[in-house]
Amino acid sequence: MRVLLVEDDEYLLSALLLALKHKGYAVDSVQNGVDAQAALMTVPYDLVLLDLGLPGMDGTKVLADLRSKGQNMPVIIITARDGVDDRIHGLDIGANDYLVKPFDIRELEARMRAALRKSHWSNKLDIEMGELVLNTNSGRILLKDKQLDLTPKETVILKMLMAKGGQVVSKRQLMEQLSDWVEESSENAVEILVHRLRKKLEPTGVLISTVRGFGYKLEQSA
Amino acid sequence: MRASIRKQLLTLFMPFLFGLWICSAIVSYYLVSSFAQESFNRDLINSADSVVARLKRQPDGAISIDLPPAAQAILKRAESDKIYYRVLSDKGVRISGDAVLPEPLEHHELETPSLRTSSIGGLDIVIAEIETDVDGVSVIVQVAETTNVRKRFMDNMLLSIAGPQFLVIAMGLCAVWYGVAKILTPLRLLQRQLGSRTTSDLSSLSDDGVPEEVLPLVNAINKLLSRLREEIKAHQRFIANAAHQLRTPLAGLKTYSSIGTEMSDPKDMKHIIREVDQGLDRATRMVTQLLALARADGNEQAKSPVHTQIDMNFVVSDVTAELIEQAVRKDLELVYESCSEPAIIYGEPTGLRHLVTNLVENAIAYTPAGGSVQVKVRADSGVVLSVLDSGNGIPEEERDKVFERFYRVVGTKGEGSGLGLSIVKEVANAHNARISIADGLGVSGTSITVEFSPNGN
Repeated sequence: MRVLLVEDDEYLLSALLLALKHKGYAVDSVQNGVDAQAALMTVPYDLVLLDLGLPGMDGTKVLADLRSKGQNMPVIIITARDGVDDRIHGLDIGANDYLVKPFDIRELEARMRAALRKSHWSNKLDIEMGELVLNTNSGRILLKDKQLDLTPKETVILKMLMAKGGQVVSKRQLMEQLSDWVEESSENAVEILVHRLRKKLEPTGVLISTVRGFGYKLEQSA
Repeated sequence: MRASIRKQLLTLFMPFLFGLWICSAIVSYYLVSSFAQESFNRDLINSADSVVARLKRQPDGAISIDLPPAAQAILKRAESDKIYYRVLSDKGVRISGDAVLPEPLEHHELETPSLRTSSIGGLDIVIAEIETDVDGVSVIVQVAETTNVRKRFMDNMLLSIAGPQFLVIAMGLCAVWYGVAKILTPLRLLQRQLGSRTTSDLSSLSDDGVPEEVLPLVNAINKLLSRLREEIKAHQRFIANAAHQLRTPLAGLKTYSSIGTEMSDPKDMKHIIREVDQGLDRATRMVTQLLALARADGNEQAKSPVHTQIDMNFVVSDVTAELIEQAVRKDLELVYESCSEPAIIYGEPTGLRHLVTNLVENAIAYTPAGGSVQVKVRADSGVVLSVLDSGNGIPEEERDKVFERFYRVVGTKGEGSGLGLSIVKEVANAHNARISIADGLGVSGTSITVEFSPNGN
């Protein structure tokens, strides 16, 4: 999942970057509102973590602009403003959630999962495809109650394909999922990952078929 | 003992009113009694005249007095006074009347009554004497009366003068007693207004019905209340900001510590512990600065510092000695130019130390490696402290704002709390010093100058 983290405090920023990357998120970070707007224009993020007290342009303005442009990815506000009015205002201008600093990283993650579950999987806890089950809570993919042995990057690809059901997912989209600004991914890398995944999926009755010139989709073998 | 307006008024008025009472009683007593004596005396002389009218010269030359019993009775009448009369020849021989009266005077003007006082057997009397001519024979008539009635009259007089006057005075004092209570009613109302308030109610007092004399007091209280309101608002803002500012590093710490528990590689754990350590340093510094500010805020003493003579040369050399290591670690050149003469100001040592420390620390923090920081003390007309750096500079339009609490220049990285310069400003204000920001060393550096006014404070 590709996440944009907007936080002006360098210390908290590097802490969150470390924690979220450790959890397998692809995270980009910016430290002010203007940079945040620029980033949001160029990359279709799955989720935005937004601090409100930003230098230059306040986070509420960033959020309001984002929503007015019709971008509807989930946004979680992380802020030190704990007033009820602040929370209400934040939610009213389009935030999906509101978390007051300091918070437990596990709670932040749970809220991120909840927000993603809602936007990607219509709040379903388990996504099924044949005998494969994606648990949106743990992020694990199970085959008959046994966890598949996948690398984090393979997990990201399979999750994305399962999330789209039987629909086609472009290589570009899969690349976005895998890369952040530091670590750029390539189409080649995606192809290699898909190749490995196909092998691992062989016994499951689920296969990844290629839609030439466009991307991949998940199918159940007949 | 607390002074009481009521008691003060009473002690002020009481001697005055009593003096007035005694004087007026004495004066009226003497005036009234002289009129009364006059009328008593006239009565006595009338009696003497009426005795004279009854005198006759007998053919044998003897003088006879024809006092009918009724007239005698009148003469002797008197409820409580005794009346005496005597008729004497000019030789002093008694012709008629009471023998007990004193001897007549030697010389009389004819037909001119004279009055004198004397006594008979220990009783005071007043005697009227007339020498008259009865058909060629000189006769002296004496009429005397005791003074019981006069005295009683005088006593009554005194009572009837002094009594009502005393009442008037007593009423005057009562009027003061109750008048004070009445006049102080607006104060009591104010007291009730203030007394029934909770500590959070700092709204202005109403001046409805407040008399002219009390209005300045109400205005002064209202001014104080509004100052308090502002102060409390500032404090609340400060606390909100402080909480806000502490939350962010705490969130960072919390994130590091909880992700740390999930790490298994000792290298990762070491990295996280180092980060936690730095974060704690930063939080500690912020708490120290918040406390310094809170102290400067809450403590009036800090605003009007206990002034001692301080040589800024020593303060600055102390601080730079302490911070040199920090500068070296960042590969910065820290230069201190002292003043050849003593740079004496009157001030508060702790505050001034905070001021210098914050300025130099700031310069070190915001100057990239390889740069330099200069601290200069000069003593011309007044003491001037300048801290110059070759750092990133503060944009012109932000120079006023950097002294605001929690303000951080846009794009600033690092660990600042946004409080350092507001502490500097607070201390400078307390010492009546002027702060200014200008361009510093190198291309974009900053210089901050603190000018202490020459005449101490």
